[in-house]
Amino acid sequence: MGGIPLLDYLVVGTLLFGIGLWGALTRTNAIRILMCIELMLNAVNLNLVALNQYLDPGSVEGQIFGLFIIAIAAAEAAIGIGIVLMVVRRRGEVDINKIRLMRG
Amino acid sequence: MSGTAVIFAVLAAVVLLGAWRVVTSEQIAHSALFLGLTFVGMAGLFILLKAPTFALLHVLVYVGAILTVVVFAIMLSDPEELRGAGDLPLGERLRRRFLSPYYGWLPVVVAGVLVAVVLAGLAAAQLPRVPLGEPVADDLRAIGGEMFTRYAIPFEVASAALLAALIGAIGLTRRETAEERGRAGRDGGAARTAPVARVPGAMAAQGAGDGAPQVGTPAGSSPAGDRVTAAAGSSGGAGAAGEVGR
Repeated sequence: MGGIPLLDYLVVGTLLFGIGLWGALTRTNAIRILMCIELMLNAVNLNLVALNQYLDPGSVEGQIFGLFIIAIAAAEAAIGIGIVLMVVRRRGEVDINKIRLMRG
Repeated sequence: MSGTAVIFAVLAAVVLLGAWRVVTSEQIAHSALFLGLTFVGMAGLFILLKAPTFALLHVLVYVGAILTVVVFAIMLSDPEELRGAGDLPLGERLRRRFLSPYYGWLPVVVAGVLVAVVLAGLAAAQLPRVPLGEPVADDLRAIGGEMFTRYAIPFEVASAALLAALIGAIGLTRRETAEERGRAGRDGGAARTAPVARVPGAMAAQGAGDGAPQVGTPAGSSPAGDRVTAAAGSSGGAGAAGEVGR
């Protein structure tokens, strides 16, 4: 880890999460929103591993939590892409503003 | 500036610029490739953190599985729908970027406030500059041991969730068989969606169904016309098309 303070990793994670949040809020393409959610999950993973390696280096619990996040991210991507593909096939649309089946 | 610091700076720049381009690329295919760049940069950061097993699994799952699925989704979608805001006129794009609350300044404020609060908290916190000890040397063995002893039940739950998600994804994206499509047409439930109209012969049947009431075919003039009018009376023209097309 060569003299890099823990703060630097956490700042990178925070900025990555901020970019992902901004993208998920501003974009209207469903696939791009899924990509931004992956970015946010990545930021959390970076925080978990960095905190694990700096604060409790003798254990691997942060990495195990990160692996669970990776598993859930894979499940989320599969389901999200499946829903997007189904909506595209039925309605020819990936713009979330034009998909308003569930609007009351 | 030591070598490690240079490597860290390069990796952080790759990650953040890649993430930035994921959001701002005009073409979504470029977004997907920048997403892959971000994932590889993240793996580099994990290696720098002396967690090589985690980096390996990260590349394996994110680049090998999730990015592939995203690229598949992009290629299976209609290319007309994928350009996004890029084909809007410039004035509309600028207005959307700066003035619109939903696509412009409000998300920037939300994300900016969050990042500012977290950074202020980090600046005030007493964080160690160096690790509080040596990291686990054989981290693959340590992760595997913990995963199958102490975290065995969460591991099983996660694998069950993953299996359920994959089966659900298959069920969502599976194409309907002709038999189910006909049944849907008879019920009149999904009869309005496009796939029904694409059934071979359905277009001709649709024409017949539309034409029959206008011409005023007498009931019983032909068996086929009788079926069409009877079905059209019960569940509408599209439903009749599904019925006859089958």
